[in-house]
Amino acid sequence: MVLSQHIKSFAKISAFGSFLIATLFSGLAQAEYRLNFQDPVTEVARDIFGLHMLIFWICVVIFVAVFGVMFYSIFAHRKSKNYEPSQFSHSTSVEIVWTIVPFIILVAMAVPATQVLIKMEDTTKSDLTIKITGYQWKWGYDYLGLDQDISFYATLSTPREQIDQFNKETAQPQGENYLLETDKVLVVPSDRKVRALITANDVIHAWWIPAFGTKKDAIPGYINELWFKVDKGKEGIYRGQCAELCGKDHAFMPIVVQVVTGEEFDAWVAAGGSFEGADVALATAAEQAPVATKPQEKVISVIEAIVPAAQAAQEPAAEASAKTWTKEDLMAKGESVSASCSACHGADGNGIPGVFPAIAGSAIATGPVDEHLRIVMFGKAGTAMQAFAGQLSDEEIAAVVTYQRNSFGNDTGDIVLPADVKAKRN
Amino acid sequence: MSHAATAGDHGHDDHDHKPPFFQRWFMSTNHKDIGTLYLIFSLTMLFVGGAMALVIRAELWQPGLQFVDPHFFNQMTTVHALIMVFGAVMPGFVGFANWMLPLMIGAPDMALPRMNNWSFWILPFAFTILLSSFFVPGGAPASGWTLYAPLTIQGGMSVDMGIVAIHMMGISSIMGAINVIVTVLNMRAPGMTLMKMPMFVWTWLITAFLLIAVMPVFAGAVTMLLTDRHFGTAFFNPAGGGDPVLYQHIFWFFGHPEVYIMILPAFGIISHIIPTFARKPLFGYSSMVFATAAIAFLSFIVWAHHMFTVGMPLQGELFFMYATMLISVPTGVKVFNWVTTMWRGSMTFETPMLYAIGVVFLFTLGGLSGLMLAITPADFQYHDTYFVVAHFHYVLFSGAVMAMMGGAFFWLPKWTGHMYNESLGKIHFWLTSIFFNITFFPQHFLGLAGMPRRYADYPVQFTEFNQWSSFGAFGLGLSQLLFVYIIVATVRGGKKATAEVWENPEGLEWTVPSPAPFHTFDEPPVIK
Repeated sequence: MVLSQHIKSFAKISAFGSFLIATLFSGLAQAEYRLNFQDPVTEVARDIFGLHMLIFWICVVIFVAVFGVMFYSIFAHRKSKNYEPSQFSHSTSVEIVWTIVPFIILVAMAVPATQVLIKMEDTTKSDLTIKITGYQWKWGYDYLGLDQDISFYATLSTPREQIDQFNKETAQPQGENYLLETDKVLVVPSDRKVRALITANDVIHAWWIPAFGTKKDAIPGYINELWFKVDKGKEGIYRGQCAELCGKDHAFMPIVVQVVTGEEFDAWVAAGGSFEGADVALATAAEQAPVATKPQEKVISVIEAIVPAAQAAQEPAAEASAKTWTKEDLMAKGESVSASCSACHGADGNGIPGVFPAIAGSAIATGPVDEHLRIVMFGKAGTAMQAFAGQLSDEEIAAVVTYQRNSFGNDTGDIVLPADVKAKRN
Repeated sequence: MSHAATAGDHGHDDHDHKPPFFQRWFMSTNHKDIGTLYLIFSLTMLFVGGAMALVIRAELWQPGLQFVDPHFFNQMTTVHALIMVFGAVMPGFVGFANWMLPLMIGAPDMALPRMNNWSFWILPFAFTILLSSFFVPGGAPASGWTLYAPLTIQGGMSVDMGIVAIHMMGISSIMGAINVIVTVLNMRAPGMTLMKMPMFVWTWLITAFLLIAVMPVFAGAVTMLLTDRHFGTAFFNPAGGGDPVLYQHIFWFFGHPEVYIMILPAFGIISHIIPTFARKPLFGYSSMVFATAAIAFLSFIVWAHHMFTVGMPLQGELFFMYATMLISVPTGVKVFNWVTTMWRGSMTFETPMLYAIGVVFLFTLGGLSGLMLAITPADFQYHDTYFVVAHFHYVLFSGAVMAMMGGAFFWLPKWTGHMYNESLGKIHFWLTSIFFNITFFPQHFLGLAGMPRRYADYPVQFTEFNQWSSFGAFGLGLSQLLFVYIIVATVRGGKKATAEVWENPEGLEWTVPSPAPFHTFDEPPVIK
């Protein structure tokens, strides 16, 4: 009778428990998830993976051995089995053994670790050098020593509606590469040693591509180095994220690298390394390629899309400066490039009190135009305000300043023209 | 290590005369009352910091931003850590030290009772300042508890409030440490030589030296930060030629000994519980003492393993890797000693013993992941991911915090004079350790798969393990309400505890009645 009650209540509890567990497992069953490192595509990443697994298994063996003994003791040497306690309290020989043996195991671990580390730190004899700069919150890339001058910024391209889930009506479901996609991607050749010089403009960031086995802090005032050489045949898209807390949007400055063959890379460089017109093709390829590698054909098709588009893209840029800008043009363009501003100052221009000042009604955005332009172009020392003179074109700066002086409730009526910016540059 | 006491019964009636409420709890110089205040403060902070952890876990339940914006999220991770480290774990162990050190060494009180009062009463003010920074423009510090420059140079006035609070906490810790050292070195009962001191006394003595050595270093670091922020210096500000990496070196020169400050007293507590319930003396007492000292020494020369990715020279990386790996030798000695203490004992499994076994098991798991982190090339992959978050919660929660819970159950009858409810105690242990593992074990996988830490939002492939983790965190948080209930119920009543409480426990604290009278050891006991 009592027993049956126990069984009943147990059945109820276990039904609830299995419901909870089933809910969790159904989640697990649906999605791709990973228990270990991403598949390595460089020799160093493979070495690290091997080292990681070696140490992991050594730790497992130690763990099982020590706790095998402990749990045996817990089951055998208990008072309820009338086990008579022994009173021994030391044994010099045993204590020497379990000091020496772990030491030997450590030496066995240290030898391969040292070898891999020496290899990782050897950045000599590289085929290509790229300067990587961390900004709040985007990455800047400069290809050094090439015939063509290639440099660009890569910012998160995931739509805000996928991120902001506060308001269920405007929220959109997340895409496959949510928070792992950027507007422009770093293009590097496979089978060539790529050396990266890493620094930062404002605070410390860290550049990390798990599949390459590389992570280095990007520190303002320092130039760090790392290198990688992606295996031939492993061309594709690889994704990583910033790995050092860099403020509000730390989670929103991913790194996307497209690895192409050497010939494709040379063609891309010869075409000026432009992304104009290729965004769609890249985005499509990016969507189709999850975190790991993808077949080579897809990558080639992307490159084919980029190269002619890049050549075609040279002309409109030249036209832009000759154009006569109206206030409407400037306002429209200003709104489109204001994402860099709203990252800190907020989409409504109100900033975060005490951390990021407001644009709405601010002394700078409603005061003298000259000072406003100066702050936007050259930044403000000691704060997160960056110098945008090097990041944005004359037209973009003119547009965004015009936009700020006539939005968020500001109505100065001022118009700033690209020529004004150009004058200020000199 | 035998210190059989010859102390008689010191519990005269007039020894139990207690001052009125206000004088007793606000002006106390009694080590037991100050110990109680510290412990209550620590438990309160555990809930404050825990609530912040639950905000973090609620936001991380699924990808996208559902509850808080990333700036507030960063405030949560930062203040959660500061509260747990400086508000929950450190004052908790000081509470244990206050209560137990005089009882263990046969002293009537701490050596410097007024300073003892002062060092406690600084803390509520320090944490009021820290917590009130949520209400200033820009909110609380949001740069991570490590307060790395130059991110902190950007922060709002809350950073200054945090710096002031840290200075106050530092002063409090240093005074507490001085008190421990003076008490232990001067007030031991006749016959208690250093090598007869109980392990908890030893671990605290070494911890106190660590505190005095490193708290001023941290104070120096945050002071330089303050002058960089307001007085035009450029110690760490690259815009003025300063060096952000220098801040990290100074911080971690404090920060690494700090993690041992938080674990060595836990080792001490475990070294009392296991022999009691194994009914067998602690194995290798002197090697335990030397291992503790060795860990403390090594803790000063491994700091840069927290910063392998800053781009140190190869030689530097190799040195810090080797030195870090070396720490596992004395730590291993401790674990082997505990297991051997259990070996061929006659064990029973009351709540404190369950906690002690849980700590040995789970702390070692965290220790082994620490060994993996020491391997520099692999650390480049683990660094700043959830693998690190999992690692330090295994050593800090299932090491330090669970050891304190075990210690609380172990000495609660001595403190209150009542036995706690054993079944509820065991349920609390199982709930805590199961939910703890559901929370933090999956974070190993998240980290290996590439999820960086301090992220308010994450790519979709990390969803499942984050849901496990959030589910476990809420269970873990709610289970602690049971802990409070058990303690309150035990304070209010329950079976009378004997002076010995447990079966033939070793140590002077078990020679005084339960509850321990207001004044104990007016005449020192003699240790043979």
